[in-house]
Amino acid sequence: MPGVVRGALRARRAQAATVLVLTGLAVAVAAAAPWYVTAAAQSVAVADVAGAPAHQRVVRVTGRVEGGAAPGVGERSGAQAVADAEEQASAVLRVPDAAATVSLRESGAISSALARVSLRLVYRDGMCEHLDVGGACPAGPDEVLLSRRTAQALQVTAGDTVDFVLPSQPARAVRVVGTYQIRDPLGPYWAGVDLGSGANLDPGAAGTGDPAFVTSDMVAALPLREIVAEYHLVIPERRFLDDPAGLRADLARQVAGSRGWRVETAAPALAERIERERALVALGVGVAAVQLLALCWFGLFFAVRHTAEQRRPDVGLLKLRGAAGWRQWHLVIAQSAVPMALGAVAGAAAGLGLVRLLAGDAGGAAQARSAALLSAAAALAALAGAVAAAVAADARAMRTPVTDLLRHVPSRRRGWRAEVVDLLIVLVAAAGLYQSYATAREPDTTDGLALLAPALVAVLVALVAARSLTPLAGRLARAALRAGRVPVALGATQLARRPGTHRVFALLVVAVALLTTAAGGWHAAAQSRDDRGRHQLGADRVLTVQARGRAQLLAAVRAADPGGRHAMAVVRGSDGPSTAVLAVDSARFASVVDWHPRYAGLSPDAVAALLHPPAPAPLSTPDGELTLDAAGGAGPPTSVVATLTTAAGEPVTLRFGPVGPARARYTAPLSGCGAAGCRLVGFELVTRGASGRLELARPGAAVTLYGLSPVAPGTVLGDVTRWRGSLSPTAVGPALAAEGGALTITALDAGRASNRSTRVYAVDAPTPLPVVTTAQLEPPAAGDARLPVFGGDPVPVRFAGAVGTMPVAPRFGYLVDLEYAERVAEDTGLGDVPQVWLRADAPPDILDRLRAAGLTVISDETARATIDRLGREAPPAALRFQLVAGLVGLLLAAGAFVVVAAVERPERAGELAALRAQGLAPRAVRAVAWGGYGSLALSAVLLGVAASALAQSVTRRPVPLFLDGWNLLPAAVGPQPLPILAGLLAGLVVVGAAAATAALLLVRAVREVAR
Amino acid sequence: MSGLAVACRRVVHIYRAEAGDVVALSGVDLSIGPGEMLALVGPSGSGKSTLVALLAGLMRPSAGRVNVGTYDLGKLSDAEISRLRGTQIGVVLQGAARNLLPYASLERNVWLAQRRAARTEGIELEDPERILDLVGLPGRGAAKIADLAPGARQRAALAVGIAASPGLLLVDEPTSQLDSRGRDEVLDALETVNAERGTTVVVVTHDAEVGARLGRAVTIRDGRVGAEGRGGQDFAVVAGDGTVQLPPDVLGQFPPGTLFTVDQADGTVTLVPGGVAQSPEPHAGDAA
Repeated sequence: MPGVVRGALRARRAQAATVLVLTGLAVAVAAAAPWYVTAAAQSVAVADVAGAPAHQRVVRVTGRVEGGAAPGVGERSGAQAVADAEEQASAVLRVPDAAATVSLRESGAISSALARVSLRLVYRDGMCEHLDVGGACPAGPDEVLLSRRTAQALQVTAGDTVDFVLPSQPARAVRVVGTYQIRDPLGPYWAGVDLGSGANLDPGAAGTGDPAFVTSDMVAALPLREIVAEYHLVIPERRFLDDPAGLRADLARQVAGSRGWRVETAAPALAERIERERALVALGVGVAAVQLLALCWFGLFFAVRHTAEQRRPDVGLLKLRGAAGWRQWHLVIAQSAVPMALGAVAGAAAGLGLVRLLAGDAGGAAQARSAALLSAAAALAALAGAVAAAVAADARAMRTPVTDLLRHVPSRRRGWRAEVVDLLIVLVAAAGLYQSYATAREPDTTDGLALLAPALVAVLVALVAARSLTPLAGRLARAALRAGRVPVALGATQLARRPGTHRVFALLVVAVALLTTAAGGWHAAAQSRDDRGRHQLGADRVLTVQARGRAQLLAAVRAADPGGRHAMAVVRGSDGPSTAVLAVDSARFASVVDWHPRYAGLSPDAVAALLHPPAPAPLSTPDGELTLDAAGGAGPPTSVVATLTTAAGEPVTLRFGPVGPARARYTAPLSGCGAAGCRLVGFELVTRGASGRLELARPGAAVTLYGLSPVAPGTVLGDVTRWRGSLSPTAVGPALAAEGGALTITALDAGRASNRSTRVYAVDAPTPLPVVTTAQLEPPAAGDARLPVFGGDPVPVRFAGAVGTMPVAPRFGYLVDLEYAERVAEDTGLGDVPQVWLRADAPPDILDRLRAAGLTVISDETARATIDRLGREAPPAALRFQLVAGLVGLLLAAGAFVVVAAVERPERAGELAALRAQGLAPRAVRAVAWGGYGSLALSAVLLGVAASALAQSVTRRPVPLFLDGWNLLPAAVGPQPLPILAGLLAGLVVVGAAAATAALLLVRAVREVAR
Repeated sequence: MSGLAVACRRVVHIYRAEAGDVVALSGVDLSIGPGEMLALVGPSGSGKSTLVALLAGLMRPSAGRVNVGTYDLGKLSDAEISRLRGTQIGVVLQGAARNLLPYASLERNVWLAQRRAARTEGIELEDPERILDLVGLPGRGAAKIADLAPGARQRAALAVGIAASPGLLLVDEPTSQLDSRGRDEVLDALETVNAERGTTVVVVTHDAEVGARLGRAVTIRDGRVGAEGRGGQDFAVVAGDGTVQLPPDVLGQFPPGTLFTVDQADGTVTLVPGGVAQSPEPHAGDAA
């Protein structure tokens, strides 16, 4: 028997090879899919963890431990306090292998002779390793390390003594041992904490400014009953990759029993995202694999059934000789099973090899083992399906009586079973389509039915079209015969009469439709990633920097790019999670920003003009002696503090007085302004308090300023429009009066002492501050519109214009001019991010120039890198597989087409050769061959593309573009020209090649038979 | 295995077609003795192949009985008929190539045809090479059908037909498209099979010379047994319902509907035409 089977396979090499290839394809896909899912899921997880902000990997546990004044505690070392904090906090939350950092802190203030800054006194494990320290790290109990800008605000350097003051406690002298700047502010060590977070600016905030770092002994010894402790854990990447669900469950469980400690973490969000990404990859790839597998099985069934036509006489002979049923099955199945087994082995090897090449490793050893097992199981299932398809294909012959099997012309009657199968498929497809349409679904999720919907549409269209093929071809044949067009009539007749033509037609339509739909999904996703990457960044390239101040940022960028065409200073903040506040250098905005055509509304030039209307010029002066011509009033001696700022934004304060009742001149030297000079910010009335420290002048204190030469002459001082009070909504005072070339400032009383203000500002920026907003934002119906700028008190704003959306904005956004905002913002806080936006054609040495101008670059992001990172998420991974599956499906359908042509070739060649012998011209034979196969291929491709267009019009996008549902710049809905064209081209090339092969071989066969 | 007797009693077979029913056999009565060689002759469409298909158990008669040996084929199940075909009834289809697997050697083809019989007790099978030798193809076991001349192909088909040592061998048009030499080779092989094994041989043929060579030729006409030729002499046959088919040359003189009186004297039956012509009977040529 094996010899007979071998002989059969040798005699039907082409059919055996086709079955081998088709089975190989099916098994390759089945073997590749699980590995791809595992590898892609791992890859997206790695990309998620790598791309996630550092704070998403951090857990912060905050509580209190006993301080130096706690009853019964006595003297405690810092190490003991740290150990206490660690013990208590780790009892609340434990994450194996997590890097833990303990902090101890308390809020207070540090004051020098000239200024006072509210801040936190902080000890943090390993702090000096994460700081760039100029000077020394604190080692003793009264040593403090200040940030560079705090030191500047206090005007102290290493070696100076300052006072640390706790509320309701006497001041404590401490020695400044050095200054620091935070190293790696975006890294995990500093992530998730509000001490020194990011590259923040703004010294001297009323809230928490840059921390002052001290030893643990100093914090532990503070005369307080309790001190704030923080336990900071950095979750290892491995935990997110290996078991995100388990990590989420662990965190939730431990957070629930927190015993008075507060646990804050964004890690579950990252873990959940990873789970969702993996689920989407599994679902998207799984459904595509199942679709392709179904196509393979159908193609195999179809190919085997067609080759079964050649085996009918074999079965008939065996039945005629009374051979047992199993022997009949053996002969026919072996002719399929042998090439299937060989194809399965080759396919499994090829599939696994290719997927490892494309998708890489599946992760650790355990994951690789699991993926390999799944792949093996899937490959076996695919092979089993293939064998089942072969059994089903040959089953009909087994049921057929001997007389029918031995007939020269096989029965043309289509069994009722085929009709029922078609009807069932149509019903299932329609039901599935309705279900997918009717089921409510979040825009950023998907499900199996939604993924199958385009395929169901394609199947419906294909079956309906295939059913129409036979009658249409018959009608065409009759019409062509009446018209005397023999080749057309012959071709159409053969199309109408050949059994299975409609099946291969349906297969081709479905395959082309699936590929075109996959191309459509890929194109839309690629377009959206491009849009999002550009939108999220705002420019071709964005540097996140550290600067001493916003003015310094502005000055540095202007110095590095004097032409104003390549670089722009930007300070990025937010007013809630959905609202971005961008302070930009308007003069360079139009040149540098990546303004998407779909932002709508104003052009970048119009935006820039609206943000920077004319304003009074700033009052500037170079270094030298300043002379204040002033007269005071009765009451306690009042001094005038003039606040200036250097071009780099560093504050310079000069104190004049105490100013006596009689008009007199007071001088103070000004230095450190540099070539650009200093800008006058304003004046403040102060007096010495009981403690000897400077404080606000008492209510009623008044000073008249006649001139500050050379900065502000009397004409300027006497123009009240050039002066304003604080813009803070709660500030009270001072009263301003301008008369006779002089400005009188009077301190007022306020219900709350903290609301009192004696500060007067020079008007050198428009107030209210003009803003351009996204269209959804509108001014309030009542009251002034205000916006917190740079995290400080809200300033009055004027809605100057609106755009559809703007760069960077998550949903809503405000644009302000950086220079003007810097001048009007008061009491600014933390949380903004200084950036430099660059064009793609910025000079190669721009970074060096920025560094030379005093900026520290801490990150460098390009739009291309952002887009690439988005390309490593789950949706592109699923879409990529769908595209490959679509291509493979098309090749498979073309292969089935070739099989059909091969099986019917001897008979067709015989018929055409007989007609040739009766005088049919060779040209007509060629026309029949090329016209018949060509028209079948062309109509299948066109219909497949049309089915895809229909599917894309009526079904929702099966794979979401982004897992987080981002749709700020919505992708085009429905079929798009480029992917439709691509599907059409691919279909024409592949199916056309198959049709051409079939036609060529038929013509050659006719020639050989006729000879 | 010795030859099987065949008996057909009023066998009727009707084909159901889309255009309407076709009566292929309209009451065949035929008896074939064990070991006899018989030719079934008749024009195309007369029902010869249908009758052979019924004898082979490939179809079931619409009416009547078909007995092969002791088996009433109408009462057997499909499995039993299949077993019978594998052990006791050999069939050689028209067109030698249709009887062999083209990709297997002659020896393999014969071996395959023996498989059913090989598992049946009481049947002794000959070696495939011996069978090929019997039909005049010695040493050609390794050859495939494409390697053979037309006459040899037919003998190869014959070898497959007798591979299981059947008691009844049904052969459809074994000499069509053969030259006289090829025809003689095939007939020699048939005679050898019949002589050496005692196999009952039924041959469907158009060729009257084949009928004459086999000794008995039964003519099937319009679905009935019309005449028989034995020992060179032709006889009309009285069918089971009493009808007799007139020879074609006689029928040409007396169109259907002609009335006869039947006279019998001294064992001779005389048909005397006379009377008014009647409208044609459904079965032209019947005389009752």
